[in-house]
Amino acid sequence: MGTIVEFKDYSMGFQDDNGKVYNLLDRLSFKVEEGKALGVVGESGCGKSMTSLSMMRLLPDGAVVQGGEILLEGENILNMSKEKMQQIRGEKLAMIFQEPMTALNPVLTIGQQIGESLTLHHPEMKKQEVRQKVLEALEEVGIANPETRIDQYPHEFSGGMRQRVMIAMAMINRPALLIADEPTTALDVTIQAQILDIMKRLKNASSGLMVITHNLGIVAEICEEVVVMYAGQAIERGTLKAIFDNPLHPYTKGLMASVPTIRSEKKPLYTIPGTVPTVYDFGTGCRFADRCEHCTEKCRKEVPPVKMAEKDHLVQCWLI
Amino acid sequence: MEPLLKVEGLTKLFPVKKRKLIEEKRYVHAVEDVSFEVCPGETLGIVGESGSGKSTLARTILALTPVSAGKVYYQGKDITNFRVSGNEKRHLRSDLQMVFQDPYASLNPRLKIGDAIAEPMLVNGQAKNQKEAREKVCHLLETVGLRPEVYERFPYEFSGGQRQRIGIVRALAVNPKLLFCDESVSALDVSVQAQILNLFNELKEKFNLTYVFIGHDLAVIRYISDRILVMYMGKIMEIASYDELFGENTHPYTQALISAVPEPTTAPRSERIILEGDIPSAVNPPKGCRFCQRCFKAQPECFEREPDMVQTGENHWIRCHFAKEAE
Repeated sequence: MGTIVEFKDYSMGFQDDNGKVYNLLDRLSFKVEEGKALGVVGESGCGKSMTSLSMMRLLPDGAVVQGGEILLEGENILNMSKEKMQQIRGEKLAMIFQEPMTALNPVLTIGQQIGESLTLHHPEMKKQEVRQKVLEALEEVGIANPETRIDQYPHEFSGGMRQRVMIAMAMINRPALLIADEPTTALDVTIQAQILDIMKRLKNASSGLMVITHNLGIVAEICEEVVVMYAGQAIERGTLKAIFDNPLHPYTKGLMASVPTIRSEKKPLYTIPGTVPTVYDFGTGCRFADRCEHCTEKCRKEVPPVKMAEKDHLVQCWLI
Repeated sequence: MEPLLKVEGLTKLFPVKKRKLIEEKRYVHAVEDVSFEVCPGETLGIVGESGSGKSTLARTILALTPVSAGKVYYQGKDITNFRVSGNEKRHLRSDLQMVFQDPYASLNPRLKIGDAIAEPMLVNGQAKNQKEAREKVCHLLETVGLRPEVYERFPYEFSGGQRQRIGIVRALAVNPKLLFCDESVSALDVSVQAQILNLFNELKEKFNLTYVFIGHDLAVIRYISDRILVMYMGKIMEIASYDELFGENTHPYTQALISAVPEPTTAPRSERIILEGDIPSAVNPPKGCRFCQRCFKAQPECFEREPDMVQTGENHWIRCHFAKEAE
């Protein structure tokens, strides 16, 4: 099975007005394999979204790439021309955002918007053919009466339906990789279940999937591989089973223990003290050191190496 | 035990704007015929999808929006719409407090957070002068895990978790008895959410508080609540203690909600109940059971006749034709 996207020691950071660069993503390395789903977990401020935007080359102003490579089917995205990138976005890499309302144009019909991503990459396609494809795409994501829905505007759709439209739009060109950035955070649990169901089905259609979320339940539901991010570092990664059944990094352990589940007991929840540091407060050593209960002198001074705990299970911690 | 808060047949209808000259007046049935009690010292959780009327329920109880029908009793006294004398009203306003989802939206960006917290104390007479108010604010800030120095800071200087702590301090400033928490932990990160949930439980002990906790995350509501009320389209579908709600004999809507929660485990999961479609509009609620259009157990009867609340256990009520009644 092929690798779709591979991050190789990728680093990026933010430049302030004086030209000083603050590192955020620190030597990130991971792969998304064909037909598999990768879950990127972490809290806000951990650099999850910057990871996906790096891949799309849509980083905000002030962001600078500090090194490493991002390979899309063997080619380095970072060296590609603007024109090439425009070809790739939507065709090879597609993205679903958290808030589907802000991602849709309110004055264009759903059909026009989904059709646009098709005609951009296939200018030769006839109008009738485009419409037919859009109808099929809408049907695929479970929108009832696609014939009427195709000519409606975003405001006529509910939150869950809009997210379906976004998925249809992203999937219409059969991208090699679908990136879903917090795809269900704004939705109700029942609607979330519907969307997860669709995403699970699409995953089997051979393209790769990358799900960015803070919800461990969603990851357990649809992913095979997991990357746990903390303050810009992939502190632990491996297969779903390895990470969930045998978490090794203190942050991963803490994260799992602090989520109440529908089976947990009514005793005080485990808490990780403090909050995620901002890009300006990262220490020289392990970035989790200040919140870690097993922290030693060494942790504060030196960045821990990435160690292989078992096959398919990598951890960045001094204690392992 | 006498209930602290008692709600009887509470209804809130919002009129729909007419589009034609001759058109029947229509209403959004936001909350309809809701009755429940909250005992002192307990935590009542309210769950449901968005649009089920959870927040409107809290707002009507607190008289932030007028009641259409029904009664609200606080400590045995009728306080519907807060139609009581001025002095009593002030007491009520300090006894019943609310913690919102995003306190940043409710804090004045130009007011030091300490002054923002002290203001209701001075107005309500919990503190006689500025000096006393300041002392009390600092003490409260320490109770929720903030340093007293933050008194001088402005809201933008705080992170989401700290702001939520400030929101809690502000509610606590007037010595409330009953705290309404409307999605108070939904916007927080996982690790911070655990800190705030623990804080809520600590404060409950310390200040003898009673909570009405509104949320959509079943795992969180289950964790914090003693009893849980499940709402759908403005009506109560089920009231049960937290362990019974996750047991066998429950409302189909509750079952669907529970089964929709993705669990962070690699253990094989049971077949999920997926509800079709969205919550329907509450303008023209169905004639039969509110849930009939999406229910996976619906029978012809459900579309015809609305079920009554059936008591299935000591503290367990279900609104379903197929609920097993207690012997």
